[in-house]
Amino acid sequence: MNPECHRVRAQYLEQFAAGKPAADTLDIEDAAQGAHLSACDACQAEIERWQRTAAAVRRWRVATNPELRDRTVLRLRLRSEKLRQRRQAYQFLAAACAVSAAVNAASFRLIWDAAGFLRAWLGWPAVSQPALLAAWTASPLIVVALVLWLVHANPVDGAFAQEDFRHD
Amino acid sequence: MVLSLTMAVARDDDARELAHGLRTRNPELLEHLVGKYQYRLLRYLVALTANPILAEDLFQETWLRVLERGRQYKPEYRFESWLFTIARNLFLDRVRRKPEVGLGALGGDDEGEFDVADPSTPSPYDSYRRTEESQGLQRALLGLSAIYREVLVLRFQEDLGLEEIAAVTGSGLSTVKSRLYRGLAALEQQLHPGGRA
Repeated sequence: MNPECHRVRAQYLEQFAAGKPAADTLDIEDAAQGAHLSACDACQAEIERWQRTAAAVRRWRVATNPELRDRTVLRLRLRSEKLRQRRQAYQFLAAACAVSAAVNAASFRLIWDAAGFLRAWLGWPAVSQPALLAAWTASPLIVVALVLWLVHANPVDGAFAQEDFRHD
Repeated sequence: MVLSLTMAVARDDDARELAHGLRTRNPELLEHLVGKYQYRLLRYLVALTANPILAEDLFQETWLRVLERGRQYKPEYRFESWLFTIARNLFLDRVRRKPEVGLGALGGDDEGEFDVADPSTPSPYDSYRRTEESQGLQRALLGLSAIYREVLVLRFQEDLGLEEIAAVTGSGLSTVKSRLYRGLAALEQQLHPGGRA
């Protein structure tokens, strides 16, 4: 193969891979390339082989299992239902958190006084009053954490366990 | 010009509608997509894995991932590119977890486990000839390395552009070209051994 053949084939293959000229035709736009190809039997034969091979790839068919679609759709419905339930659980938790925060804000003074009364009655040190208030305020968070832990203890088939769009 | 502009606008609208449907996990849309892309996705997965059973498994996993991660789809990209990317990443995850299904197993050991579809059989001779040809083609394709088979299928079956193939495979453009050239040469050699001038 002389350097001109090499150049023309490389050029043609570049165009061929990019889809121009159309893969199954010998539609050469470049005049010099076209002139060489029309005169060079070896290059023509090589290009025809590439085209034949690409055409063979296009003819490749695989058998499909007719049940595959139905099975997939069924799994999608089941997973969709689980995801919907999970979303509802999170919405419920968010609402519960909001209500809890509002109740805490509204009852802050009352709880503070109650904690003070309890501390005095039991004879606990002064630090126990803010500690009791903090425990009361944090109690909804502890309940939320417990519920979230229970939700995650039953994951949707590891739905959130893997990262998409990772490349090697 | 006006027609192509109208078509482009329609495509944009379709893509936005698709993105919205995926974001809201619209069940009818997903079922429609499964039906529409089932053959192309399965063919890509068979090309990737050379194992139809594994391909079917990954096929289902891919659609479940589409359901879960639908909000990550961006309308400016072709849906099939995104779909193939998910399928490929799931395959790579599988390979990492079970290396025995990976590159070492992609040599076509399971080629006898699935048949080549032959939709039209006008005569017994034609049927025989086509089956022979298809099986020969399948043997040749499955005899290639997975990285070549993948780009050949994406380019010549899916008609993806080189940039799109690069995005799906996470490779550079020059790597894709190189794989394509080598894949063509290797397949040509498998199909016509000794046929090179």
